[in-house]
Amino acid sequence: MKKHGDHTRIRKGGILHWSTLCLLASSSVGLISCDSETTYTATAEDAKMAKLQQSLDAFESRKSQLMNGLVEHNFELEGLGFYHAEAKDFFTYRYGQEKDGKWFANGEWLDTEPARCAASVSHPSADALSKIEQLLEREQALATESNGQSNGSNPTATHHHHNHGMGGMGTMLMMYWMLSGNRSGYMPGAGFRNAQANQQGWQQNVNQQRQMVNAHAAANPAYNRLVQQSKASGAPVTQGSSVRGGFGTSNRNRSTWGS
Amino acid sequence: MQRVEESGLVWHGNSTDAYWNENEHLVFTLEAAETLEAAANELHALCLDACEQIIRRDLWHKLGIPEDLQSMIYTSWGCQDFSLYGRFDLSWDGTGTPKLLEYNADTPTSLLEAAVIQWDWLKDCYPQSDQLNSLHEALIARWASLPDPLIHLACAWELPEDRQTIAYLAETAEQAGKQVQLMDMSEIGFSPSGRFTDTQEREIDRLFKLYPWEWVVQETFFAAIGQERSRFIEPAWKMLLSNKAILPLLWELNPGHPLLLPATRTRDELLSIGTTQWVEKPIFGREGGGITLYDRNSIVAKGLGESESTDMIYQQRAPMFQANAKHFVWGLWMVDDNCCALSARGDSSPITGNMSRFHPHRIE
Repeated sequence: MKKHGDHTRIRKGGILHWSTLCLLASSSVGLISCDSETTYTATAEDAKMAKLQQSLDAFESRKSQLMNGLVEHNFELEGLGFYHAEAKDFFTYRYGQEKDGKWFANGEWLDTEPARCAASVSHPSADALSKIEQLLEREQALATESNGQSNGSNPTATHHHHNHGMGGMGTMLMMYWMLSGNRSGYMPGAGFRNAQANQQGWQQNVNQQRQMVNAHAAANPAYNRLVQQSKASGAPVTQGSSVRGGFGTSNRNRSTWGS
Repeated sequence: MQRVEESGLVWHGNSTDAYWNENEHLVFTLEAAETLEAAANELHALCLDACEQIIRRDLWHKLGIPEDLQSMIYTSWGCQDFSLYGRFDLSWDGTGTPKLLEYNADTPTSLLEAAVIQWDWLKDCYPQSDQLNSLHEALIARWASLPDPLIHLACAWELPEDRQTIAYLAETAEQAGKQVQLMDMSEIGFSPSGRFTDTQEREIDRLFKLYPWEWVVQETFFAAIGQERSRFIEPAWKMLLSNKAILPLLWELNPGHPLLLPATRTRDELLSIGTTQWVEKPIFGREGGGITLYDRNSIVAKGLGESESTDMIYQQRAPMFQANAKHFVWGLWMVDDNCCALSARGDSSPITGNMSRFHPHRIE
């Protein structure tokens, strides 16, 4: 008759151990692991909404930092470039970008790769704030022009900036927050004053986009699952990837336990 | 309870209705354990022979397998697609020979408690005793025989006991040097290039599914399986054995075999051979669902769960081992072609259901 060996059989920290901890943790807070939306295929609208949701999440997570006047290292502001936290200014290239054997950092091309930037955030210099203010003024003028409106606050306005996935109003709002958080660091001009008048409308526009995502999620319960999968895997929700949901539709309320 | 939870058994029941029950354990002589082990090995050989007969003699109608499934099962059997494990349920009261109640060939559970929890109990409580149990090592060795470096394991994710079963199997696969990926069945994708994929778009080379074939064949992706058939564990040919209509066929192919109970597709056939106590079972079912016990046309007991099929088989009842007002069914675990472990489930009802207690055993 065959018998077990005496070696350790279940590894501490192994996959079964991990699964057990997940289950015990879930049961203690009354959670069930997966939703039951099983028959679902990602649509083009899902992909679009997931991208917008990602942008909104990133945008909202930066709000309080920007309103306190702090800008993240290597933050990209279309029209000005990348923010280098040590130099407290925006430049065309990302900090540490390599080109032709040289590396860019704090406004200079270096012969050796720069050390990791010591600061993760900083307050922009007066020069940088002035650049933001000028850009904000130009952006508002462009928005007004493209919409034939005088104040640029139309929430349905489209804009040429899409680096944050929400249109130009999101970008303008972020610039306004940066300037608001650093009022003592520069002399506010026309750009800031107009933005002060328009920012409520911009915020409404962002809120409407959030409502649109929420409405989509409510109407398509499996959408949340797609977004969670995307967050877990790091891969974006895309149309045209594998179709899912073709298995797992039978008798989900029954266990195979005891069989 | 903390000890069994630490080992992974998180569905051990509550204080009034304990699934894991070590207060009552079974003690076997070596001879008795070896009797059950030998019975399982012989029954496995009978089952494989039955598969061969079905294919060679075109006996599909005996199992009610539709034509569109036959070619896939035929190919799966012909290619001897990889099989991992299964569990025979036997009755035996210690006299005569053990009898086959059914073969859980496709999605057997209670694996973790059979392989690990009862072994831990033995080490903790009776370190000098023995146990019929090499399940863990056998699973590792079986995984190691596969060439694939990555194994995907899927189940209905919201069921904790199923998740733990595949997590335990993943543990054994990892100990065999494999990478593993656990997933929900619904997360399996089908790519434009005709391959099943995981959520990271990796192609699935081997998929262990704790998900019955009779469910798979009703689902959308079944039509896409085609050349991917051989990647599924348990294999498609296990549909021949997990279907309880195999019981009458086994009896027909091996009439009077000492390890088999008389079984037929109709009640009248069984009555015509003088049977007075019998069991009616749906050809597909779990947890005792749809099972009814009869004694001369009177119902003695009825399974609590739902029946998954209206197609029934009829099997003569066998005497079960009884102790402390419980009826015991012996689980004999097969890995590849070898019996590797014994487990025991006990219930006050003669029908084993999903809350029948798991009792550890030892050999003296």
